[in-house]
Amino acid sequence: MEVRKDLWVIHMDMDAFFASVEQRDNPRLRGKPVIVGGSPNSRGVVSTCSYEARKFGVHSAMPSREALRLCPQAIFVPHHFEKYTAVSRQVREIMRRYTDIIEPLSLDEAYMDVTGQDAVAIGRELKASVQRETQLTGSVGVSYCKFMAKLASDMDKPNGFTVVDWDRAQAMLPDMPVRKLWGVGPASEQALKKLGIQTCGDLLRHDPEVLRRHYGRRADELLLLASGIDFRGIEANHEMKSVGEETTFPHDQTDRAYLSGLLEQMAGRLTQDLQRYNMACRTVTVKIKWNVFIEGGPKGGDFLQNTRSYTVPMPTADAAEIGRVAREIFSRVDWEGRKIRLLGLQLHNFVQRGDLVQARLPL
Amino acid sequence: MRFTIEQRLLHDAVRSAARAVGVRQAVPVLSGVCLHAAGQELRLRATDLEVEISLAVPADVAEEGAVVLPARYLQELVRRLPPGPLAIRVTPTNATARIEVDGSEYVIHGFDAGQFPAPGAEGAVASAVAIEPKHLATVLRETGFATGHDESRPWFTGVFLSLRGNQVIALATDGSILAYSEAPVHNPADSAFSVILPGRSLQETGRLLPEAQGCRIGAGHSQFQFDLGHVSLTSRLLEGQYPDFRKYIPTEFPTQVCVGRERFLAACERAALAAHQSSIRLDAGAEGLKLTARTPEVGEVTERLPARVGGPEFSVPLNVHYVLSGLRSLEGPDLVLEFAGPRTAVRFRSSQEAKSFFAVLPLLSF
Repeated sequence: MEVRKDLWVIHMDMDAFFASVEQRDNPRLRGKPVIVGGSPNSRGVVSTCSYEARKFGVHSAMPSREALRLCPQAIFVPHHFEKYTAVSRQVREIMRRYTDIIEPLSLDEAYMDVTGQDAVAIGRELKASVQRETQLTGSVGVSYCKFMAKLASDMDKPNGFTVVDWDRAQAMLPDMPVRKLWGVGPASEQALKKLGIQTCGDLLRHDPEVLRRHYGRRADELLLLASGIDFRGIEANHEMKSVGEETTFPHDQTDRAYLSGLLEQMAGRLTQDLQRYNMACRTVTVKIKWNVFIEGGPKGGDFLQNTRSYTVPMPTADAAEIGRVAREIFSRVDWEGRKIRLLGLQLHNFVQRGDLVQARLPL
Repeated sequence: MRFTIEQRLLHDAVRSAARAVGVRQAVPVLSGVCLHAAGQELRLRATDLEVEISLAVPADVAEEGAVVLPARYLQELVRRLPPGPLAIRVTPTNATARIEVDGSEYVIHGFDAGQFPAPGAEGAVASAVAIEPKHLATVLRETGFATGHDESRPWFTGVFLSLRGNQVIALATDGSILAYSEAPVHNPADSAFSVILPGRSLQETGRLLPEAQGCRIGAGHSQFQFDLGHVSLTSRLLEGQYPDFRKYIPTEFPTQVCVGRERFLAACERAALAAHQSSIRLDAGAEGLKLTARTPEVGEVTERLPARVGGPEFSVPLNVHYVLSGLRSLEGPDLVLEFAGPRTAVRFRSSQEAKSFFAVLPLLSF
């Protein structure tokens, strides 16, 4: 496949979206460390915080209690999702003046395909229009592929505008940490580090056969991304079906209390995603890979895997409830003397806020 | 094995028994009907190991014996044969039946009767009680529609049937629609049972009931039997503790709406056409009952029905398909809708006096 090098992707990410909306609508919050999310008296987590709060080390997905400790003068504000949804729609309408091919990633983030137009000019105009019409700022990245456009919007936050063309990408990539690659989480980062790989340059210099042995098909995807190649198109009407998170442990685990705690933390982060997408889930799935290797299959074998699900009577986006359900599912798992190699949590069966849902008896 | 039987009798009997044959049958012999000729009758049995149907019809038996013949082929063939007596001869060595009619000959390859499962609980069901077939039919109709499909909770796929004193009650739910029905029984020995029966067993029983002259029902250890005189149906029981959902249904309904059942049903059917994600809204007030539905790309329906409304007005969104399935299970000219609050079930009955009801949990705005 030929690599497209023209600039056609715009990624826009609103700056500290929920917190900025709150500050815009309440002058008393302006210039102050504002934290949108759960109250520090509960088990809530930070959804978004203003840049003033970030200076204290507060970041999203952090337990609110921890955030309060870091920044005692923080002002905690509960979510107003209807408001965020309305603003998000307003921003999307502005985007639609330039193209119909829009892929929203969440309320505050979207890709646009502006093939055949002047992407840089549109990017600037979009940013200015959003600021003029919503009194909010966003950071815009313009590039020749999705991966680079998203990186670009993040390079000069807040209120940034960054263009990364093919040549600039090629100059940046050799020293870029592999952690920035799409799909590389803390576990993969550690695993790559063990192979002596820290940057995309290291990755490209490594023997691809060794990488393939470790990562299978994934290795080639990583190599492409590290060379600045991403063939993904913009998926308009992209519908999110599930959110999930999983961790592969450096050492196999047996500590049930620790693992339940981990599920609860995952629930906290995933509900952030749900709330950001303005959704709630009905089904919670716990995924476990055991330290038991099963030979065979197309990949030559894999570790024994179990998934266990539970469907709640009413959709929920509540971290505490999802955490409780996840713990409950996990407590019923039959260990049979095995150890856990991977633990994951998935939320699916989504309902959009505002949808009608069928009530069910708690039977 | 040799016997002669009327074509119409054989056809009706095979058709009744074949209801128990499973659609996708993994065990070949279970795709058949077991025929057993003895004395002056032919006994037919079919089962899918969940439901067994057994019946006997008069036949002129020249030589006793048994064989299993493929249900579908036998039924379709006999249906097309001319009326009158059919002479059937079975060669036991290769389980093959020959039917001779007016010089024509039809051969059906079957299975050895020894391969067929032994009869179910016939006789093993203790202390059966008598119930009017029409009462039983009503109970089954009023609850059978409400069962669910969640195989992980088997009791949802069945109907709870309980006998206490001179009354049998039935409960069914899929978690969102709830149905209750009751009927008088003749129970001089004061028997009692509480069982969960697979929805399918009840459906098949419902189909056999119109021809029943009488009916006795009884529970065994792991089976339940409907003895309809000429035919009996034996069903496996579902395991589990049936949750008594009646505690979730309000006992007081401040608002009661009386409306014509047929008219309401027709209005729901029209509203269903424009119901986005099956949702319709019911509004009851001084002007009567209003039904609305809309789908942005399709259209809108507003139905206004004359109704007698007692109590505070209300507005509630419901899944129209739940309402329709319930309405079709009721009979009679009237319908009483009862409302107790926006988050509780809406109850439907055929009159103020009716004990039977179905109740639908509302749609909630998330």
